[in-house]
Amino acid sequence: MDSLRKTLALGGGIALTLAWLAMGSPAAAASTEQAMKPAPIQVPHGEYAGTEKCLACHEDNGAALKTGPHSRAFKAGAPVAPYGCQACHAETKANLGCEACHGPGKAHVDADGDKTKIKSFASLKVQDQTAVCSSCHFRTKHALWAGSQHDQRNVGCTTCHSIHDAKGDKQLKAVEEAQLCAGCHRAIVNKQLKFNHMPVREDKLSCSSCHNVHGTSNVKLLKAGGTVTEACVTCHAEKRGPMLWEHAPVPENCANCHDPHGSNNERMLVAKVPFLCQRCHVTSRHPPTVYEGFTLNNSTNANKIYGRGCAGCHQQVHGSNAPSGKAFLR
Amino acid sequence: MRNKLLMLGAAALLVVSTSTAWAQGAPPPTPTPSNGSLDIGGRFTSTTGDEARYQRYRDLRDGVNANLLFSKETEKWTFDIKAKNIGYDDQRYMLNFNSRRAKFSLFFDQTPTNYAYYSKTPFVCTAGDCSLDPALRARVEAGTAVGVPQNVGQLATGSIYNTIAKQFDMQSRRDTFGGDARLSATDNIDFTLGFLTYKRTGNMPWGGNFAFNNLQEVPLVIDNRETEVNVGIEWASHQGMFKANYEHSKFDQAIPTFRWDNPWRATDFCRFGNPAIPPGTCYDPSAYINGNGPNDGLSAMPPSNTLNTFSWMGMAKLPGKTTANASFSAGSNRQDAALIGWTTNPVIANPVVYATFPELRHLPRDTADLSVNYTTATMNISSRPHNDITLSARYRFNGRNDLRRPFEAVEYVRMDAVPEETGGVSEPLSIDRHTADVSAKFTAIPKSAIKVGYSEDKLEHTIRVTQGWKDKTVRLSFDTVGNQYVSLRAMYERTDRETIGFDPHVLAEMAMQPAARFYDEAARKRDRATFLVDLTPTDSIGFNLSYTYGKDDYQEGDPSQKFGLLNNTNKTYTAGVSYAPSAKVSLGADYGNESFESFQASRTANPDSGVPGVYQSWSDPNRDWNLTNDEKVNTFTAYLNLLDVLAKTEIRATYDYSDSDQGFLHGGPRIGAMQNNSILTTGDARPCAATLTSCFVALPNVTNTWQHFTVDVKYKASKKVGLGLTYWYEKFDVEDYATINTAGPQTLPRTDLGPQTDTARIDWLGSIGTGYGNRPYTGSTVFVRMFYLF
Repeated sequence: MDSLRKTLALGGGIALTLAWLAMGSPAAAASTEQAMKPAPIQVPHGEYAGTEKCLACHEDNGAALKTGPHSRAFKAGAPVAPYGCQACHAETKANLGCEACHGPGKAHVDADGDKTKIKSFASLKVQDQTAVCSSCHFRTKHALWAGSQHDQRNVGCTTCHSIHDAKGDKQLKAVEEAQLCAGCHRAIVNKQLKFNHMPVREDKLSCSSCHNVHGTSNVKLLKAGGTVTEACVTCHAEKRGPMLWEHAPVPENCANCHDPHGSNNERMLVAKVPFLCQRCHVTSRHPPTVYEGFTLNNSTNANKIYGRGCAGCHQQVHGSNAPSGKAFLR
Repeated sequence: MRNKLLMLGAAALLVVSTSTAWAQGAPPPTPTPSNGSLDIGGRFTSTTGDEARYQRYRDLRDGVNANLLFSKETEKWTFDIKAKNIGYDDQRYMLNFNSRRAKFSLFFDQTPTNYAYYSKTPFVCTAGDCSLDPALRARVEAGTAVGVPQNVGQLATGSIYNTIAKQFDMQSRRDTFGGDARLSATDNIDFTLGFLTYKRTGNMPWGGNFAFNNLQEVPLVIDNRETEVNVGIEWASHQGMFKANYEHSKFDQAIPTFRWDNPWRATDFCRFGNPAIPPGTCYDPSAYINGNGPNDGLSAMPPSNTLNTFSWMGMAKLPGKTTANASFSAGSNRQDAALIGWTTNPVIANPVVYATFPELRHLPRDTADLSVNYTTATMNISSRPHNDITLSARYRFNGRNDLRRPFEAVEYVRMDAVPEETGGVSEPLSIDRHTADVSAKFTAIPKSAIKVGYSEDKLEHTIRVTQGWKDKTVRLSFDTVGNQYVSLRAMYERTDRETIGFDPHVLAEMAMQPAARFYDEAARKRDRATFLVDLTPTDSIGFNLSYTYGKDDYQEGDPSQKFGLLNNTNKTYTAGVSYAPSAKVSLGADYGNESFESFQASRTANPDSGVPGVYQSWSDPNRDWNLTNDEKVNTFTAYLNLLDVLAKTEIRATYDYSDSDQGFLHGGPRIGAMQNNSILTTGDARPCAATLTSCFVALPNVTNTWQHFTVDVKYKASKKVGLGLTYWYEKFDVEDYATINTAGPQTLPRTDLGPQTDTARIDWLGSIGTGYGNRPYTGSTVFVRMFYLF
């Protein structure tokens, strides 16, 4: 595992480099700062029309200034901060008006609402929309957005969120998170209707309980850990061990055997036992025995077909901590 | 206490709670008040059939149902609290505070898991112990009563333990309490602090065994807790951010061992003098099949352990519309639980046996002494050198470095009944995984993006048949979003997996057929495709269609593979429509069809004896069999919202449906031989008893249908007060041969045991269970509620 140390060394170096760059290295500060200054910073006060003028025509969109997260963006770091409005006008929401996101609007007003003279999200490329949002939302949960799976598939902030017409929490476009995700992941969300499922439809979990759609260091946009198994054991810590006897597919990937989105098999298994186990265990004696209806009704081998199947005896299938637990029987 | 407190409000109330399919446990949002709302009312539930399944993760008992929302907002801070299902087993409380310099939240949640209320067991279970009546065990040992049915005759008589089996609720509950805080020292620097603890209590179905035909399912008592705390510091500016975090997690197992009585014996047993083994030793090969062995068993439960993780993450916005981010985490997972002995059977754990099995005198060490280090590193860079071109490169490393000292258990005791020399050595399971991915996205077409990508994913691991695998993936996608009339997403992906360091000798050491492979590491070709289109011809009408396809072909990846999972294919179609002619009326429906098919192969065989000229089933292709397992699933959802169509009244209705039809089709020469009780290869024996013409019966399909209907009516009596009525109806039908009723398998009953019923049977061939299985139910719940806005 020498590669681990190499990767750590390389990774550590890159992280520090990134931090150094981000904090404004002498060499990069000038160019970086120039590149990252939001456009409004360059704009004199006179280019702004002011929120009141915006609402004179767009009254229906004024709710975002009164309710919801954007009405209480207390921290500096808003689209025009720290160089912009809040650098001088901190502690007040008033500065976070329409032009914080849509840019200076005086020209738009002067041109009787010419849409080409204002930053209209509908006409922007997805990346450009996202650039506006990420000028504020680039911290912890959003830090790994660039290059993430959704970013690469032309999904942007406004694909899921709406500032002016939100239906659910976190400015989502749907009342329920799963409904929103179903827009693209219908087949996955439908699995929740299967009778063995995580308590999502009972409102105990949601898609974002496991996934951070804004980018993660794990696969499948999983929030925790670095592998599927590491994510699962954050809630199922009893299975993380390490065990005296490991069942190798378990530490490698829980999804080898389970479908976390729902299944018509007990314990959300991807296939019914004993057939799931027989996909691998082609040895001698009882593992490759044909388990069928005659056995079920006439043999004590029936106990490998009904109920918990193989796991009736091999109950420690996630790993055993007993010295005699090699076959996960104790 | 719950009802006492809440009954005060109940008298005044009428109504509700509602739910859509996606929040059956939660009333829908009530009209948003300026600073709070109280929902309180009565709930009445009626169930026929499997009541626990209806309430699987929720508590729908009759009584007062109350939910509270409160929020307060000033120019300087916001504060809100939420309370749901107050007083019930699925209650939840949340509190949030947010200001310029401080932000914190707390929550408490209970989630039940209700397995069965009809379950029965003759065992009396307390923490770590399940006991059986010793007098009955003595009768079974003496042969004067049936303990675990072994044949059809004994099924008719039934187990003596039926006489003492008592009904109990098999259920557990997870209580979670957590919180986090973010304190801003400056506009750029935040400190974060978080904690979470969950405790699981109750019981769950668990297996305990002593022989192939002596298996028990018991209500294992659960009592464990996981606690984690984390602290971090985060720096951020418009140029980027950096965060460092430390997390400590501790899992405490309050019940480290589990002991259970043998229903077949009241005394420990070991047969001496078996001619097949050295004289004077204790070895009983029949213990595999006849229940001989100890009077009780002892198992180690998931052990207490700790996990400490340091992580850090950085992001920098660079010139040229370039963003780079990286994250690293290093964790140490340690477990040092005390080990139980080789066996609890004193007849084996004694000097006579030690003479033949000297390694059983002592454990190699007294505690587990296990440690694993985890490492994850990611580096991403995304650049937009041209307005229409975005380039991305990603690299990820995952490491699992198992630091264990090998634990030698060549001599061990199987099922507390049989000392053997067929064990092995527990060696480190380490994993390294490197993933590199590059992609280019082109956005020259308005509202659209074309992406091409290539990735290599290499995993190396120890103690497996292979040293690892390497995936090479190419993908192409096309996405159109933001168009007023159409959104389209399409993707195709092809992955070739090749194995690294396949070692047939390891396969042989595992007693596997040489042509068998493990599907999670076998070579394969994978094809995946998705297509999704949304059409919105007018503002009020929308259509959507989607198709997904996936296929894993292992034989294409490795033609030498003959056994194991050989291929699987899944396809999904969905279609939906939505119509909202006005703000007051909206309706829609979605249909989905999913099909899944897999093909696996095996060989019924005994080990090769190595004796020349003797028939060997191990190498006989006429012993081959295969299984085609297919499943077809239909889903349908529909909704109708009528808001203020009737004055001051909101009506919402939803309907959800899902069904499944799963088939098991056995094939191959071995199946033919079983169907005709024929000998296909000279030297082989008949597959069935001589008196039978056949010993194969196809398994019936496993099917289920689930439906959920909700209607929710709210009436706004005034600006402050509303009334509501909600009705849920849910029906689940299931037919599963693996569920045992009085006449045996639910869909394959033994008619000689009488007419089939829906009543669970706890004794069946080779086991004493709890009766837990998949059973139908019909449930309905009415909520009558008043909501008050303040």
